[in-house]
Amino acid sequence: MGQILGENVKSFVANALHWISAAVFVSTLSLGLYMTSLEFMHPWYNSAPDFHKSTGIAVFFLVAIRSVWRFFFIEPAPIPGGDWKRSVDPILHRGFYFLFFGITFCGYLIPTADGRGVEFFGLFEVPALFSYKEPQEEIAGTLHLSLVFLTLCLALLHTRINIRRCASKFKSLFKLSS
Amino acid sequence: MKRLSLLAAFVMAVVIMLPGALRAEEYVIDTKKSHAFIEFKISHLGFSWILGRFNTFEGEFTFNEEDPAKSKVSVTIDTASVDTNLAERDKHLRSDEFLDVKKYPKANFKSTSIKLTGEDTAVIKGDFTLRGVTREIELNAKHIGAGKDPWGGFRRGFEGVTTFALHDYDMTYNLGPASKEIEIFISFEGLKKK
Repeated sequence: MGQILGENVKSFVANALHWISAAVFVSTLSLGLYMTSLEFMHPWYNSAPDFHKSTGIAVFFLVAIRSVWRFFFIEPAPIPGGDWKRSVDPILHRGFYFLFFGITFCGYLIPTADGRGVEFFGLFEVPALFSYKEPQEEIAGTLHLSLVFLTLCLALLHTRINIRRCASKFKSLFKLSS
Repeated sequence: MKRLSLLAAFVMAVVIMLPGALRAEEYVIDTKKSHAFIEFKISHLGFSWILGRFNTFEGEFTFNEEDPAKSKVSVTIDTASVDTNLAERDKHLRSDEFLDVKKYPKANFKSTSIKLTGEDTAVIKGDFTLRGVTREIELNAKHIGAGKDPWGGFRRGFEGVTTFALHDYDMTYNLGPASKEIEIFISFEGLKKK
């Protein structure tokens, strides 16, 4: 199957998935922090969490597709050079998949603790598969937030490792187009 | 002789007091088989009610048949067991904006006086501690019934209603003007201690 797609297509899809998941993840996270600060009387008090759940489900599927893509088609290019970055970044990469799955799964466990499913933009519903009631929502909630902070720290490290390479790539892209 | 009469007086005192002591029957509230409920009701925007309950609590009471006003009741509630049939809402209610269950895992009620108001009704005054705040509340109580159960025990049941402002217990989260007060309904059956 690997031969059907050209190298360019494979890496384009992998790159697109990387940046789309990153963007959706950061937006979902920001919305999550924002919505918990909303007052009961705020017009978005109900809609913001609904939206957060939908984009959270999107993160889950994006990361799922991305890991399948990685497994079958293309692994991220190794970092040039031979220092610590080269050995740390692949571990980080794999770690992110587990973290994203962990965060979205814990998030999913909060509203489903009472047996209710979660909706994806009103299109379909992910049913509640694990409903152990209290204290499920409490434990899942604590884990959900803790894993987010852990991911944020690792994402900073990931950015620090890759920023130079990324910047030079963008530069060459602009050079090519001009 | 003097010692003997003292002993006689003591025995007589015990004999006289014993029936009185026996009359103050002791009961444990039957939470084991859940014949006891602590439910609450609060307005949602003034349009309808949100009903909820505490699933875990324990309590006991004494009942004085001769003089019911001398009866006593105490109940301790596990605040984390709040249940409004919506996990997300319950999580919010457990947070420091409402019950703050991490800091205040227990709420309790202890009666201080009982005033009979009718054949089977009374006003039970007592100290209710919630969120670390203790205030006197009044329960409008009713004795529902008592008697032998089919399994060899003796049971006695009551119900009671009270209303208080959330603000009284330092819960100041804004739920809108219609939702400032909460009504508590408690119904329980006591199993007589053997």
